[in-house]
Amino acid sequence: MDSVKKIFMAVTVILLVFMVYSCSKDHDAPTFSTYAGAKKATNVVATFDQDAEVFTISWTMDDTEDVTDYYIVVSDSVNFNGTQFSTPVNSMATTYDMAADFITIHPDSTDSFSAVRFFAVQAVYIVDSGDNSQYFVGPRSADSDSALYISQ
Amino acid sequence: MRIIKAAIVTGVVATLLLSTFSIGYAQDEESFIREPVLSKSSALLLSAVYPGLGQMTSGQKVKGVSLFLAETVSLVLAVNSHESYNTKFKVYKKELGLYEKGFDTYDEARAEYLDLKDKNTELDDLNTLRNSALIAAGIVYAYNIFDILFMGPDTGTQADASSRMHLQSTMIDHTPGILFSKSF
Repeated sequence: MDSVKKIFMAVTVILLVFMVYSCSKDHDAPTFSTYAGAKKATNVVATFDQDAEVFTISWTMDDTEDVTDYYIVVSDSVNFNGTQFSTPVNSMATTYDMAADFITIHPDSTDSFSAVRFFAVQAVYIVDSGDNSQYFVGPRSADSDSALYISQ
Repeated sequence: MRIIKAAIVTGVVATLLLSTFSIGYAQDEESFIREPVLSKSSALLLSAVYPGLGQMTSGQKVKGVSLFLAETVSLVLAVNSHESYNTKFKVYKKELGLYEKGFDTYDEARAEYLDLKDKNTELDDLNTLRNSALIAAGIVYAYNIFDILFMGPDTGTQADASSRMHLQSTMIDHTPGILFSKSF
């Protein structure tokens, strides 16, 4: 009986060890390191010239490596998840004059209205500068100075 | 996996029926202690097949049923969580592949990354649950074997029992008493 006991104990221990190591996880966690190089524009300031009906937006971009363009984004929501309009700057300048096209930024505009608009800037990165260039639109800036109260 | 599940369910139903029959058979009012039905080696073999069976047939019904239920619950939990893990992992793997292909905007990439991170946490939890259930089943099985080998009642063989003196509690005309017997 002693040898039988030893065999059973050994089998039980082996079974326990097998159970502990048999179910290792198959999944890997996702990484965001690919997009870590994309930076936000800072110090975004928007002003409105009512007479000329022009918005002037200025910003700062500390690291312009691989940056090829900028997008100006206008929204009626501080989280930019409402009505939204964006336009490319088409240059590396850090200031942009945008015509106050009220139909574009406020589809239901009438002759006179008042509203708050939020402005943000996104840097456009060039990912592949070969024959088939690929672009990546970076993160949106988020500055409180970019909010404007418009009244007409 | 479905075959294993069906086998476990069939085993549970069959053993519950067997246990019910065995309990009825053993409850003889003239015997104060329920005497073991099988020898120790047979009880050991039954315990090796499934935890609790050896104990149930060697007179320790409460312990046997408890071990049986503990092992069954652990195995069912392990199998269920394993199946859930595999199903969710297939979806996760597909979405991770699409995520690694890249996005055109930071916002899309960020939203997908956060979604994948939640799914990854869910998979971590399921993996922990299935491993814990499996380890619990292993511990119950190991204790079951240890119990039968070292702590169970000494049933002995028919030949051994017949040559020994027996002192046991019994019921005489519905009154508890002690029975002393010796085989020659």
